[in-house]
Amino acid sequence: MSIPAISQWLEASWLGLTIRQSALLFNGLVALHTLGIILVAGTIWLVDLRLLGFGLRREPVSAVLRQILPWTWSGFALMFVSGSLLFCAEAVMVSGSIAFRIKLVLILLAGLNALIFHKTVYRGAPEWDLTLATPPRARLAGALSLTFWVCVIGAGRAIAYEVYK
Amino acid sequence: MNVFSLFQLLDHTALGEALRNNRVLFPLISSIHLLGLALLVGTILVVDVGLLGAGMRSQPVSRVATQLKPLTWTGLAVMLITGPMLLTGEAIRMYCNWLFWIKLGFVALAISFYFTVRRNAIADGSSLSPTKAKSVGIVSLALWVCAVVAAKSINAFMQ
Repeated sequence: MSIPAISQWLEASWLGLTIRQSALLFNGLVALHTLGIILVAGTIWLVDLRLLGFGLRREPVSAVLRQILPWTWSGFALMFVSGSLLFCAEAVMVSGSIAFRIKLVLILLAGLNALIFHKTVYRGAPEWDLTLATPPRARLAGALSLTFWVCVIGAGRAIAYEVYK
Repeated sequence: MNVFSLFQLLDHTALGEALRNNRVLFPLISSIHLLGLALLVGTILVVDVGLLGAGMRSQPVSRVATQLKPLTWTGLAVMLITGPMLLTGEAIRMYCNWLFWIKLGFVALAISFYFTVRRNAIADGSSLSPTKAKSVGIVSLALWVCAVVAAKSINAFMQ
């Protein structure tokens, strides 16, 4: 089954129709999606900035990660569920949007960057947990994560203007 | 000069003209506005959930708040600059939309709360009662969530 066919099927489904036909439901989901991205970006940036030596500089890197990341994940769940539902409502238009495809790739890259950080340089965190002089690879991971999420927000905004104008 | 003529003036600025004629400018500034929002509300939220006894709980709330203040203020500055810029692109349309005024009301309340009750509560530190800390955290979170929900609803009721 091709992407256009799946998109058409999603839009015509009960779920897609229900969301599209209710202004309250649709805009409620848009608001939840915005709150989700605020939670994801706003919290992950605090981790990224700590790796770069800004923000929560007086706290150990591990303390910031351990206490902040659960909120990032909650935001991601909110963003993902509301985003998937919104996609069902407008699957044909959104799946054809270049900005949407770029946004998905950026989210994937952000996830990959976080995974690599956790599996490699973060393993040695006990050695640099308290210092502001984090290793170059940790700084690179922080800078990349910061940039990816800035771009995700930009691409997300671009979808709205590409699709509706 | 009344509010309506002020909005008319905004609508007629060169920036307003540019925002309406350029396809990229509006989404670009709108993205920066959202980046500022994520920084502002993200940092405020971490302190608010701290007041509720969650999040950064292994350190005092005031200590976390002190370190996050420059980031919160940066986010606020970005919003206060990009917000009026975006307004010039559709000032009259916004003037006629009641949800825009509701949003502005919540933003004004949330910012006032941040600089008064919330700041005093955080300054009280360990002498702050858990009940008061929780109430301040909940009110702050609720005001910002209402501001965001009202902002996102503006387009739904746009004529």
